[in-house]
Amino acid sequence: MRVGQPLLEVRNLCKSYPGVQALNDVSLYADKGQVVGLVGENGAGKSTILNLICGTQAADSGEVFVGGNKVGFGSYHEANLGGVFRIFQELALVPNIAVYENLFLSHEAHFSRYQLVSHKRRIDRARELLAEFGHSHIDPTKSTDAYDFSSRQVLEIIKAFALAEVLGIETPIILLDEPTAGLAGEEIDFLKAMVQELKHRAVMVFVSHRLTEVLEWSDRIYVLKDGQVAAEINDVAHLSEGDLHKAMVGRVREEQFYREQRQRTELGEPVLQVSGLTSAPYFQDVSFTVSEGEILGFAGVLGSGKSHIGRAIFGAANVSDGEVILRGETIKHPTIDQMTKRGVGWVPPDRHDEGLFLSFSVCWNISFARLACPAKSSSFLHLGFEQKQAREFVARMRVKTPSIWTQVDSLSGGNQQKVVLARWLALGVNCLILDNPTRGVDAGAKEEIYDLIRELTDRGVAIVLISDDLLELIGLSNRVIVMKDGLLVSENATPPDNKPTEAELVQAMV
Amino acid sequence: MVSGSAQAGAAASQRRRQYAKIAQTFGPFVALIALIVVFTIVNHHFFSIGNLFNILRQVSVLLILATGATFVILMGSIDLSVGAIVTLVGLLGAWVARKFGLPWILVMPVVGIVCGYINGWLFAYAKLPSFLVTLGTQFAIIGTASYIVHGHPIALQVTAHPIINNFFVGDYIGPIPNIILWAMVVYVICILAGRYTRFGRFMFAIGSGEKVAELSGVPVRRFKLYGFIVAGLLAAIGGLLLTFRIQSGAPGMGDPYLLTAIAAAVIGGTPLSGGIGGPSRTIIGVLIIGVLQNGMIVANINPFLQIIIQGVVVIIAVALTLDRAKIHLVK
Repeated sequence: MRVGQPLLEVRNLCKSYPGVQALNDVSLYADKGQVVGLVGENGAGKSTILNLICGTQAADSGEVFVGGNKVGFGSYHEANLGGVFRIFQELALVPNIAVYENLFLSHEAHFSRYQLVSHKRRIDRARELLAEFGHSHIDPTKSTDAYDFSSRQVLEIIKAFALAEVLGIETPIILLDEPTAGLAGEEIDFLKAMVQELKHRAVMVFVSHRLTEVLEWSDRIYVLKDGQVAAEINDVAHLSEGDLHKAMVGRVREEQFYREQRQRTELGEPVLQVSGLTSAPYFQDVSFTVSEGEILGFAGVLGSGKSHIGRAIFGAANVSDGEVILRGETIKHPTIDQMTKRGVGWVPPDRHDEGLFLSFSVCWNISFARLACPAKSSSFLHLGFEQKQAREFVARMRVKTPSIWTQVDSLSGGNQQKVVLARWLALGVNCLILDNPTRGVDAGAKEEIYDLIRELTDRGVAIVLISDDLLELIGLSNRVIVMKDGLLVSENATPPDNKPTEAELVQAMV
Repeated sequence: MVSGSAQAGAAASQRRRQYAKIAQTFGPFVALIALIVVFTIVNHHFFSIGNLFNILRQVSVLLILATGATFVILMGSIDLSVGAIVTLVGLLGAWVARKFGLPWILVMPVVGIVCGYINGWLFAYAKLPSFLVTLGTQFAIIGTASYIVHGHPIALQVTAHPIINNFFVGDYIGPIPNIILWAMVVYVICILAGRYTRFGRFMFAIGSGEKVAELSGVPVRRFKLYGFIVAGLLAAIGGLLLTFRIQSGAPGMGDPYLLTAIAAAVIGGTPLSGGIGGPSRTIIGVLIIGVLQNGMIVANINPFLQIIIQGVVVIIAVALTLDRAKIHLVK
């Protein structure tokens, strides 16, 4: 398999953070012409490896070799000079400067004469590069924010090649850190094609949460688990997502994971009815009913409008037409306070931005929806009840926290998400809208959240589940509605004994 | 496999976190004690009952103003019009008292509410940055006050109504001067409001995560308005006490309170980024400033140097408390 020295090799890397052994004796290599996938649960050490390779963090012990030479990059800039480039999770392009300026940012010196930086030579070079990579439609003199997210992601990759060339590096090492996280279906395919094409000119290391992607993109895969390499897979062709998942978590997936045996077949009265709901320009004429104990899933690519349906029902987005009927009561234009008063909760997709008061304690976070609801609490707070309820939910939902007074910011993702859920349960809900409730949550906490969702349906709560994770939708829901371009395109029954496959849903989505 | 050293590391980081929290909670308190000890060593007259009461009398007005500022800062906003409202209340109050009789000065809190309403409306409903709004209203308010009285100080004529005057400043209840007592009463009410009411919790919530608050059903704009109204009302009450204390309304009488009110809130432990701290902590900040001001006089420090020191202390306090993680870009 290995011929001579690989272009990138790490040996026996160790790194510990306070409280965690993030990496324990990790060795791996990557060579030209291969895309090497790194997979693992949250906290398995994927990002740490990239950090150590590209110089943003220093290893406790272990070595990194680039092109056979031992390196110890002290900063990302040094790593660049050594031929290592990283495509960051959050885009690292400056939005309000021109494309060509971004492409050569911090390496302008190569275009200078008498200490003056030449614009023209950079623009010309940028134009050539864009043409070379099949993106001549991008105007290098335009402001970077004139281009959408996926184009900018492509620009980042081109930037890596541009810099490599400027720096005289023949084969750049490109670390792709979840490059697809913010992209929709067709954009992902586009990026994939680009990576496949360019892998013969570079070393690609690819990190993603989406296992299907890792399988499709990678030629070799390292599975990380608790900071160690749990498996090194050279033959990806015969690998299934299930195998990969098993290697990652060491437990069987499928029905058990989603508690499918607990899916309710007998449903109660309708709780939430939506008819002809429209919120221009996000979605039009959406109608459906969710009953007690039912989980209704919404699938669709980014921009299909599925996320906005949740917002609109909850009153967090405008409704231009149609109505929401809650237990027979018609509401034309939902507002958040009307909805919370009637026991409707909404778990947002981004818990840091929209879900949690990060500087608040666990207790204050849990109690907030209830005390903000005039129908459920008075203007004067009952602190004793607040604490009692917080303790109750921390225990019931097994939130791992030193105390209810711990700042919520310091909890892990899964526990933070449980706190968001607890807030709505503390209010007392009969309808819960969940938008990607397990995003960025590790598998163990996922299962606990699934348990909780099942428990809620047992008590007759109606649940609207909006998710990008198709398996989660199929596993949990009684029915899955597929959205496309703001329209409802199909409804799929997903009874516990006869679940559709991902492929069947995807067909309707794209 | 988590090694023993990692576990030790976890324990150490947990300890560090706790230490940081303890430092945050008790730091201002320790600083206060340290200041008192230092000034006592420099001049033992500093630590006399007479001087300590003197300090309390001096900080009474500041306590009320700083508490009002605390609510606004909790929201992550700022109110620069505090001192201007004090001046307006003093001048307008003294003018009204002379024109219509002393009892009319008691309507001054309404003036504070109006000022706070204007600030709050422009901030919350017209969506202008609070910094700019209150910077503007500060000038407008001072201008209004000067316009009404033509820029002259007005003495408070209290002889016809000694009861009102005594109520504010004249009498002692037990050994405690009235002004201290009233400041404490207002302060305690504010602590209770901060801790036990929905209003108080919403001030924290708006500062911690405005969007999250809105998505939980909080009428954010309305409560932002309330926050500024409370700050305006408290500024007016503070202004009223000050007017009785100096027995007149004078142009510029509120000026020194602008920076000190904000500084006291921040020094006490309510960072400019908002969301944590609260009125219960502001009194420590107020006392630190009071002790510092009084102590520097007692220690006979050059008055110009005193101003420099006060400015430096404010910057240090902001630097120590500001949650930089929350403010991604400081502009």
